[in-house]
Amino acid sequence: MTLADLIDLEAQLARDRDAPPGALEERDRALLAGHSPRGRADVLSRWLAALRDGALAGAFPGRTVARALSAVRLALGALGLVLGWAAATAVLAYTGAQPVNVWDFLLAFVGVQLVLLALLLGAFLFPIATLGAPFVGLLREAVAWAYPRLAARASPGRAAEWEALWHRLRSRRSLYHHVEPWLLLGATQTFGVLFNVGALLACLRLVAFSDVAFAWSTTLVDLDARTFHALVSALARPWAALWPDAVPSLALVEATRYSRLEGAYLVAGGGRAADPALVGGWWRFLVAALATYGLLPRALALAVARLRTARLLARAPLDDAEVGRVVRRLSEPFVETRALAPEPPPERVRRAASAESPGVGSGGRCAIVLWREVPGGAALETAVARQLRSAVASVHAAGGRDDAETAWADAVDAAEPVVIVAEGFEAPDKAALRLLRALRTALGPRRHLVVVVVDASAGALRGADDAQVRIWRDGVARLEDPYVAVEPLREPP
Amino acid sequence: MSEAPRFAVVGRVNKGKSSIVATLAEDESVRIDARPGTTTDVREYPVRVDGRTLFVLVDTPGFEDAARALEWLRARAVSAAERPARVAELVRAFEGTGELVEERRLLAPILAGASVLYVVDGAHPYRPNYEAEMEILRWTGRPGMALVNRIGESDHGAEWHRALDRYFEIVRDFDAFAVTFEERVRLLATFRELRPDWRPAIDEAIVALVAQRQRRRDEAAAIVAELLCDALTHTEELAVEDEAAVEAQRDRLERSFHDWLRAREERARREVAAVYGHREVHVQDAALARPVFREDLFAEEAWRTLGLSPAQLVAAGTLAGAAIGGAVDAVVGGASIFAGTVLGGLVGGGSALYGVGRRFARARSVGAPGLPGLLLDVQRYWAGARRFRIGPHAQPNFPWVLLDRALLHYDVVARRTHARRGPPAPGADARAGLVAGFARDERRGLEDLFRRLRRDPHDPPRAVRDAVERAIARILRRIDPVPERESAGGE
Repeated sequence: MTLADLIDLEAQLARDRDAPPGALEERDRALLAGHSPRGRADVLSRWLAALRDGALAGAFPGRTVARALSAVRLALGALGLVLGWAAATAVLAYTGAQPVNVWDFLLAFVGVQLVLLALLLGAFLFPIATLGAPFVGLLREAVAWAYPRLAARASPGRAAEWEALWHRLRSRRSLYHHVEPWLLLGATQTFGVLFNVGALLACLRLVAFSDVAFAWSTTLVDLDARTFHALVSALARPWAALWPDAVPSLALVEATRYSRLEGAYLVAGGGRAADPALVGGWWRFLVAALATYGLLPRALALAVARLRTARLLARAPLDDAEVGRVVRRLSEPFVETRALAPEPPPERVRRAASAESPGVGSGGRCAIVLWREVPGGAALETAVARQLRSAVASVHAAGGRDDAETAWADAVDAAEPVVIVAEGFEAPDKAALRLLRALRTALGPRRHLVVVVVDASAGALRGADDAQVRIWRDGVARLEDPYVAVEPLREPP
Repeated sequence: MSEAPRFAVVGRVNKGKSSIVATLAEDESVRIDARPGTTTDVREYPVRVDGRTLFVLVDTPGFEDAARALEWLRARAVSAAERPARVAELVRAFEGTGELVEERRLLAPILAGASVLYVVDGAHPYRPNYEAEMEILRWTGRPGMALVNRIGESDHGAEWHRALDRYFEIVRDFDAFAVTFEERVRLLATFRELRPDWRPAIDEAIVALVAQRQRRRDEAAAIVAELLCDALTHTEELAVEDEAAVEAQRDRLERSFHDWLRAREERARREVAAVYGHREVHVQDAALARPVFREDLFAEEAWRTLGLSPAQLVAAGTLAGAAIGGAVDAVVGGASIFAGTVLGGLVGGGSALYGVGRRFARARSVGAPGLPGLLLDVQRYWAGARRFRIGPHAQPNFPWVLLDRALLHYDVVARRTHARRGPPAPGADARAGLVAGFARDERRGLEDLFRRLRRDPHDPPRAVRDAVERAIARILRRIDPVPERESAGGE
């Protein structure tokens, strides 16, 4: 994953934050249809690529930000090149009046760079950055104060949105804070490398196209030529085997000791009597020192920073819980279990008119039809007789396992009403309605039929609950028969 | 590829066929009604994984006149081998008529190759007339199993099992309204026994469903973590120019703050319900007998029942204070003779004790943080205006009450089947608070995360939010244990 990918990923996560998970799942499945990605990074890269294809311009700022960062790096590099060139040209400036002091070059291009390198390593090894936290805190607060105001001024309608983005970025920073120093290191080392390249080029230009005389001098009495030679030999040790000519000889050191008081080399005699080949002999050492102590560490630091950044970028976001969920969404099977089309709205059920009990009986005789194996018996008959104030003339069964057609006119004879006893948990289905129609056909249009709904499931008989009675009333109402009543068993035994 | 396995869910009208389909297909849109004849057409519910249909559940209208259909079938003597053809003949014979409509519709998918899932209601007693339906299904010659559903309190399962065992090789209890995910997976695993050649498709579906369940749980953990982070870092500010309106504006700020927290919690609940495909889980506004998680977020009852006990809160505060004081002791190399640890513990415990029992946050007259805020305050002071801020809610029990409510709500949603309609039933779904029973290490870890969130309310570090999510995910794994993917597919 690249920096551009990472930024795009953050932008997409911010957009998806409030979207329903189901919608995201469907969208992403369509995007990755036909692909079989391998690994988390591959999944995310393909996902982002697919999203970018169909996105509006500006929705994915990753490439723009990455290009801007490249431009910053390029500008830093160009600046380093120019400054390196200028610094070397200034340090090696030779008008012929006095030779260039080797000390100045070593201090500027080796000493300072070694100190900076040591500080850099120290910053990574020791958390000295925390010492500056209070100052950074102040800066942050100032930025946090200024940002919403600037945002509100820039786009008045989207101030809250900008502020939310600011807080989100600051919040997300904790996930990527370990990448930040390496990105910063890469940028600064680009500057450092090109600074040293510029200095080297300037050195070589001066050496090739002009004559430069070098010298060294000191006020210290103890620092004689032999000691200075030991010092520069130690500095030259890294390349001594590769480039022996770049190791200053004792003769060179002795010959180039310079006295500003006398305005002449101490050994070779005064003024221009010095041998140009000898006094210019330092250039190889200085170029090697610049390359070894300036360019090489910077180049190594740059390479490490680039490699480390790339590695952290490749790994960092995948540890995040939010990204982990995206990866699972993209890589795990997408399950759909619902019906393909929504169920059509139900037909309106006509409510039954309140069916009244026929009010017959008072000494008459009724017949009982037990619907679907309702447990019958004397208790039930007594309860029905009491409720309808009629003696029970006969008891029949219908709707059983082996239902057979019954000649109802003969079976119930002149009994009225005919009481159909049904259990509440049974529905008034078509078979039940068929029975009622058969009774009506057999008994004529005005014979009273009463459906008594009971609950016999717990062993004892009792009236069915209101909901079940209502269901039976609604079901029976489909017959549109004014002589059929539905009621619960009111007087259980 | 051969055609996907099909399972026709059949049974008498109003015995819970659609409930079983709704639960297995996780489809809340399936019409379920106490009135008979709600399902009038055959409807298919394909279980698709990555666009491929692995198996299909077929919801059918109920048997309404099985005895008559069986009588027609038996009217002509046929051998056992000819029985399926005789059933097909019945379907053809009544085609175009208004008779045996439901029977013809429900038999069509079975004759087309679907296996039979015969549903009965085990809450009501067995009656021999049901054997007409079972006999017809036996005549179709298709493999089948029976499911004893429960629509009610009574239990007549044993008598049903005795009857069903005579007609079906496999008989299982399956309460469509209270079944757990594990039980659903076990039922799906049983489907494999109906036809061995359907086994790979069912196995694949089980693995995918388990993965989906785990993903849903993780999504829910993210939602709860987001709720906690938002609620624990929420602040509101108000500048009051008119001195006379200070108290009224201050009250308004406090109301707005607590209303925001309530609304945020409600949003999280809707999101969790949506993750599990529940669109109709509303919090009912019934006044009485509500479980504590459905009380108001700041209701006294909720705060008394949920969250940590006062002793636990004081212990947590003392430990946190002692840890900070201990860090000071470490910096001075122990020269303070552990005074930092002792003082820190006392201050932490004391502040926790002070906070116990306070449910509402208070608005305070403050400025913006840091130097810019100080400058702004000076400017406001000269201008005569006052500025109030409320939040983050500092009460030590607040995150625990919020977490407890979120966990209880999650528990209800995760266990709720798609056959249920309306709000969760009070009492049955209510549990006592969960967080008080957490292990001490877990409580301490969460307390530390809550403290870190509150420390940086404007920009809570994402790494801390991730840690909260992982902690919540671990808790949800205990509440909703999902079978491992490896073991889900095989036996």
